[in-house]
Amino acid sequence: MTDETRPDDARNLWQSQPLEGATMSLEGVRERIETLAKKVWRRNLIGGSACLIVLLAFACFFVIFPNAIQRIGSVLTIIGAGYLMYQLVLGKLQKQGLAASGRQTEASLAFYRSELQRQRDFHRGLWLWSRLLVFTPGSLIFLIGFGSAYPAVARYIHVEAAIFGVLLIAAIPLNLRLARKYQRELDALDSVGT
Amino acid sequence: MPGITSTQDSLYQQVAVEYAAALERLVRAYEANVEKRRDLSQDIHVALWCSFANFNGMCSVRTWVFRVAHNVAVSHVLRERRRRGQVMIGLEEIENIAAPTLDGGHDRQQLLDQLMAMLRQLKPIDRQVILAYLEDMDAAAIAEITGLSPGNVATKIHRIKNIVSRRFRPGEQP
Repeated sequence: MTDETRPDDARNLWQSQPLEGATMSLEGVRERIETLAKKVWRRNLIGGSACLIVLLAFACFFVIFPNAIQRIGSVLTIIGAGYLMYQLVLGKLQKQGLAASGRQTEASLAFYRSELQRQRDFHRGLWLWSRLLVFTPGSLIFLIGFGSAYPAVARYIHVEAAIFGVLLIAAIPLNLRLARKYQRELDALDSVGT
Repeated sequence: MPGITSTQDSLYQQVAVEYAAALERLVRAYEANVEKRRDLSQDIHVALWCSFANFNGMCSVRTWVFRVAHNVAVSHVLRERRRRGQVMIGLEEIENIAAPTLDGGHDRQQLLDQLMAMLRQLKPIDRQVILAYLEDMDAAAIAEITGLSPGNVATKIHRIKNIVSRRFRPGEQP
């Protein structure tokens, strides 16, 4: 026997591996589609309900608290929660569009590139700033308003607002770093060439 | 539309039988965990069935099947990488890493495990090329599936041959 493997040996090794005989009947496919649809529906329901709770809670705060700053914070948070609900619906529509366009039948390189682009864009630009803008101003202004309306607890509220602000600021470089990582992968993919 | 659905169903049924083994091997190269592997396999079958609603015969059924299967698997790999923080490497790097030595006889299972471990750390495009190569596809077919140029595929296949000749040599059956 020689020290070198013939390529056929590796192919033979690969193709002769013991298998479980896994496949899927048409019935199985339909059941899986139903399961996936239920999963998406449940996820959207949970996300939508959370947004709705935030929306209703801050609508109540708007009525309950007379302080103008708190009211501005409440309105901004309501707008943010409403925007998130819209995103949930939009995300669902995008998925339907994706399935309809049959992107999964594209050549692998094009598909892989579009997946990396999608992930890169999630961590930078409009997607990043819109997520931050949804969460930051409303909550911070509400907390500041709360602190000014109730001086007895203002110190704690300001600490809470500062921690919240620091976490949000820290999220920016972390997201941008991830975006750069995906960009490097895209550059490497482009250098391979087609 | 019943006409379209029956074509879609019959294409799927034909593929589910004809490519069952190749798809199972492909899924194994993308996921080590048994439960997740089952989910990935099911996702691929669902994507295939859905895709056949748009099959227009512009490429062979085999190309279509492997494109869809690899693309679903790539989405899975990227999702898992975000969760696990897994690092993937290219064929060039694999080529430069010293092959692990196996004690005693190199039985088929040990070699297969080693091959699988190597496949699972490869970057998606390189993984697709090597998997298509292991499934006996020629450079033209691999280029059609991946979208790489035939020259690029030839370079990668050359690397793959170097790697397998150094690492994967089935010995005598025990």
